Amino acid sequence: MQGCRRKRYTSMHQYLLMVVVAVVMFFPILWIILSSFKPMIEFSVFPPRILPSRLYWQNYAEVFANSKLLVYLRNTLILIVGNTIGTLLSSSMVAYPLARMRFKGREVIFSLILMTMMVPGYVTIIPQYVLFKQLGWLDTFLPIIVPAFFAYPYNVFLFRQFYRTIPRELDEAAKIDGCSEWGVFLRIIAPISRPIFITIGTLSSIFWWNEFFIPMVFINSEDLKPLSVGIYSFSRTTFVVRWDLIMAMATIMLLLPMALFLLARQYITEGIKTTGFK
Amino acid sequence: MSVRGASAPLFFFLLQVGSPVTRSGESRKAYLFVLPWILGFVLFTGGPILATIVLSFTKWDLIGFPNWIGLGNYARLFRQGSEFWIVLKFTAFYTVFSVAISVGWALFEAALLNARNIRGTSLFGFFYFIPAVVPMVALTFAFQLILHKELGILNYVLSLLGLRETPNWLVDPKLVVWVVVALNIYTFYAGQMMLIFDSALKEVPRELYEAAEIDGAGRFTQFLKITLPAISPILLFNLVTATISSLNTSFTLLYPLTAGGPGKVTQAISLDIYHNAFKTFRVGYACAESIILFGIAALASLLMFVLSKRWVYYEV
Repeated sequence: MQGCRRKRYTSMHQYLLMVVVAVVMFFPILWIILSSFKPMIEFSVFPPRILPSRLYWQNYAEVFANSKLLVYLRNTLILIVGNTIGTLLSSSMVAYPLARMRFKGREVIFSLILMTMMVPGYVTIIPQYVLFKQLGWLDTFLPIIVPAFFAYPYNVFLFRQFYRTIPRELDEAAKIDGCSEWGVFLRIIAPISRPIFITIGTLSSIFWWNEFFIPMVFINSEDLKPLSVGIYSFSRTTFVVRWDLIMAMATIMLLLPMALFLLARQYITEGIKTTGFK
Repeated sequence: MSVRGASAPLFFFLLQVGSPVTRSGESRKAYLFVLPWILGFVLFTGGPILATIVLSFTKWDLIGFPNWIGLGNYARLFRQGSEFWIVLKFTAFYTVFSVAISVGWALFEAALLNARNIRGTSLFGFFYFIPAVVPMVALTFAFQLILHKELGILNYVLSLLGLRETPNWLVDPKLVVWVVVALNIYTFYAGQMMLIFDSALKEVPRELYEAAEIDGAGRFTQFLKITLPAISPILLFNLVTATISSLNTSFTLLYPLTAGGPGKVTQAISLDIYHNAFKTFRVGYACAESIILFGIAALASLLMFVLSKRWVYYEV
């Protein structure tokens, strides 16, 4: 009886703690959404109101009408599509021999791939900038999309992790039937690997929806900025900071990652978990 | 994902380096598959690192021709009273404490999600992970509102709790450095670590806890004696991941939130590189800073490997 009560007490305790942590983690997101429905005047009242006095949809109408939101959105979508196609094609291919073939230099290449994951992006950005300047690619989408076609190490790693779980008998059988390596890759490994394609496709979309630094460096024109940089530059163009409009824009920025996470939660979490294991 | 959203599985790889057995004829085919990465490595990673090293010995404004000045940039970086000392000091502070806080927090969240006799963990897991996938730049605007001295909800709540002098979170130089460190719990890598800890905790055999419970060990002792040793390889992996990622995400968190201010108190090296390279066009100087950053990242990962030999328990 005593023990039973103690258990109930600790689990109450635990629930409370879990709720507190959930509030801490979710509050900023909630605050963005709630604020997006407040008229500008309600950002300067004290004490701050938790709920907007009424749902002020005009913020959304105004942000669509008076900012480059649609242009930013189009640019972000271009970056997402380009990068995701690029990395899926190249990374799935590069990972194949690392997981399924034996060849000289495999270990060297694989450890180089892992090592490049440890290089901070700021270390390579200046020469990349110079290179793209020489090519005349500055202030276009090319510096942001083209590198994706040359396989990102993190994605190569995720593909390799997945390929290694596929039974070898499948390739062996196909090879006995006269399938080439490319045949095995395209007809057997790639179709089986659909889940990891979905995982990386989703992660890549979320990443490029959120990415701030790279477009900040390569894009200058207002008409080419993606959402992440666009919302930042919008916040700095108005004389008074228009919190109402910024929050409406920020709410729109929450939509895609949250939707993708809800739709593909299993794929995302399973994919990330494999990075922690051999 | 790019090179930057990365983690450090190199560590596990080094533990299990196998012997490469070559079957003749396969090599050339294999290299055809790997070719895109090799080209990418030369063009976008390896080549640029070498170029950064070379440029760090020059004075260059991106327009004319780089002037060789030897170690001049490094001498300027490390001369007495140089601003770079402030940048370096903050970067070290930021990295060490973001790692400590984000790793600790991720482990804490994962431990909560793995509590026995608790239902609904999947729902909680959703709330714990969701900030990781939304854009940091959007969150920084929320932080500015929430943390505002006069109008922010946090200070309002604190004043309700009886606090008279409410803090100026983002302006007080002593406070802001802690605020930006703490906000790392909302980053992608913090969420990533939470998921990895979560699955590591699920692997710890239940019987160990049951045995400890019979022996009368409390929750905390169980955590120290059973959980920590069991997940120590994962803990180390996450420490490496967090070190690299906190350096890597510093720009996205700091630039929209504080832009390095007030003054230069939150000017991390990433912001300084960006500023010097692309705003004031002191490219050689920025490259020298990049090389220092490269060294820090390499040293940090190396240090973790060395320490791992002592700390980490492996099942053989």
